[in-house]
Amino acid sequence: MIEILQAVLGGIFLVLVPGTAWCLLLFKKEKKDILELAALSIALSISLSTLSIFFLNSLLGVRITLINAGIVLLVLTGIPVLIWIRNGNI
Amino acid sequence: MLNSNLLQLLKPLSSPVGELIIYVEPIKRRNILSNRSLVCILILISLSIYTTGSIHFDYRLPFHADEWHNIKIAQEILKEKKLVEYNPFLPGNPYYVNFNEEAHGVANTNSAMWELNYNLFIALSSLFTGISPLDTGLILPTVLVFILSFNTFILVRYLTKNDLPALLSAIFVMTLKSEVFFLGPWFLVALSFGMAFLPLIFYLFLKSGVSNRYIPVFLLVFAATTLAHPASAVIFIPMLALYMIFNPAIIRRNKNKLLGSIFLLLVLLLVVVPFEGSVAGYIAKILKILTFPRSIPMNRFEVVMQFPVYMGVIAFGLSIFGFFKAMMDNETKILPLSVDALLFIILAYIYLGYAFFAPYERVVVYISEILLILAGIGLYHVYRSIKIQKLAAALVIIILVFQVNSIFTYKEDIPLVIEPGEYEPILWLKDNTPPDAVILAMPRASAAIGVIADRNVVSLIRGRLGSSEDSVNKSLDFFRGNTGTREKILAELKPDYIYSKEEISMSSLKLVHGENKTFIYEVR
Repeated sequence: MIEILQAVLGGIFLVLVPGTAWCLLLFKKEKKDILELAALSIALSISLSTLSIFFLNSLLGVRITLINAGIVLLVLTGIPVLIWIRNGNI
Repeated sequence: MLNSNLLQLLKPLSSPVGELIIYVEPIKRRNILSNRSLVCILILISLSIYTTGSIHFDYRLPFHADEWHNIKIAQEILKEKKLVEYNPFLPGNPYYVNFNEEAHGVANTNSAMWELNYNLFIALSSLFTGISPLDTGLILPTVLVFILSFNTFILVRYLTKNDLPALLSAIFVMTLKSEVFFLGPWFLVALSFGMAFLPLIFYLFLKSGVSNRYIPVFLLVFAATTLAHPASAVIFIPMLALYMIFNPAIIRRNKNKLLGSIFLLLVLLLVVVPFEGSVAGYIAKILKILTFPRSIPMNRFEVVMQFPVYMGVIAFGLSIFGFFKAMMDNETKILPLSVDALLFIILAYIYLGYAFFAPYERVVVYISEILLILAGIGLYHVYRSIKIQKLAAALVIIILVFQVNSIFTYKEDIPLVIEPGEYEPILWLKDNTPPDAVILAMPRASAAIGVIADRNVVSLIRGRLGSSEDSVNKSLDFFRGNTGTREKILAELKPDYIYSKEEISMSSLKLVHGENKTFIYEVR
């Protein structure tokens, strides 16, 4: 049961969460439907997570571990949230 | 109702994502996730599992040698905790070939970084989900087929402003057949990643011309695709160039954006192929990389004629109809014009003997993918042209049923890397041999030994990775030759264990395990 939960939540964290945060920030003023947001979020999540870890490892030698990758994804998700807060939305 | 309940569940989340999800609330009031959209998504998920996931219901291992190679690289990334630029099957092997330069006829180029972003994606999927890279290899193709169909749905819905042709195209595109020579969505190969994002890159390209907010998304997705499968990104150059020739206003309106994109392309080019020597030498190297000579003599008519067979005759016919219908709209014609651009490459391959931008086999897959998207548009127009609605609906359903079920056409033709019964003997190697043991096996089975048993092998069949022709020939000679030849090869290759599908009688070999007509010998 825990394995299934990890697979589902881990998968969502990798392929949906960072991109969703960025999409909601980028397109907050535009009328977007959920389907388009979902497609863009999946594409952005995969692109952002793989590119960030690719260059962090290639250029700075950051090791590819669950903790490091998790931190990278959290930071990628946190940046749009901070911008959102800074813009006075909360 | 479902949508409302989902939002109520997500709202209390205090995480950054939870905060952001609150933004969805006003969107919800616009009632944008209609029941129809939800049904479309459920259809696409179900069909992705049926067309791609189901192929592993009776065979729980990867099919293609390239899949095993990709899984091995992902395993190595997780083991070493860094990106790897060597062949992880053969460390220390004298026949070591750095990735697949020799196999692709590309000499003196650093191709080790090619497709690494895709291997990183496999590794990260395994890391976050806790599923082993080997099992990830069975699940990811289904996920990528869903992304492919979903992205097609988004593109066609935007182009036609209608859900029905979008759904039809999304269903058609997932019926792209997989074949060992052309590859395809069934396999855990970088091409599947590129194919999945091809419709979305078209969509983002068109939307970038309308709103600047799409530009960063377009550039990021394009960059990720370039580093995951360079051919899938480079192929956009002729396609988008032809579209812009037919729409010169785009160039005039978006000069700065285009210059920015060219700059990004140059940066990506330098990442994929590092600059060495002079500018002229570098340009010559790039041109050499983007030129793919024909290695096998072929019947020129066979290439043209196989499209209807490969895609399905009905789908091919509908795609031609969709082609002409799509040419009537300014934005929609990006699809038929892309087919034209790729057709030039196919014709160059047939008449000049060279494919440009991407290998011929990949171009065939890209052109088929776009034709299948057009087939969905074509079927929609056929549906609309029939006055009796019930008859039209029945016809559409019959065509879709035939098309979806035609996907299994080539399944029996895919040669297996290992038989299902070989899994246990290979696992025995993992449990009973030292970690640094070198195994001599047939080059095809060696890929599975490297992945399942995590042991070094002597030779490897050519694919994403490979070993030298010499090592492959010597391995084959060992299993086909007589005792004298075998003794000579053993002395030269110095393996620790032999993995064989036949019994071998030699004084220098000691049988240590036999299971499912597979024999493992220790070299004395």
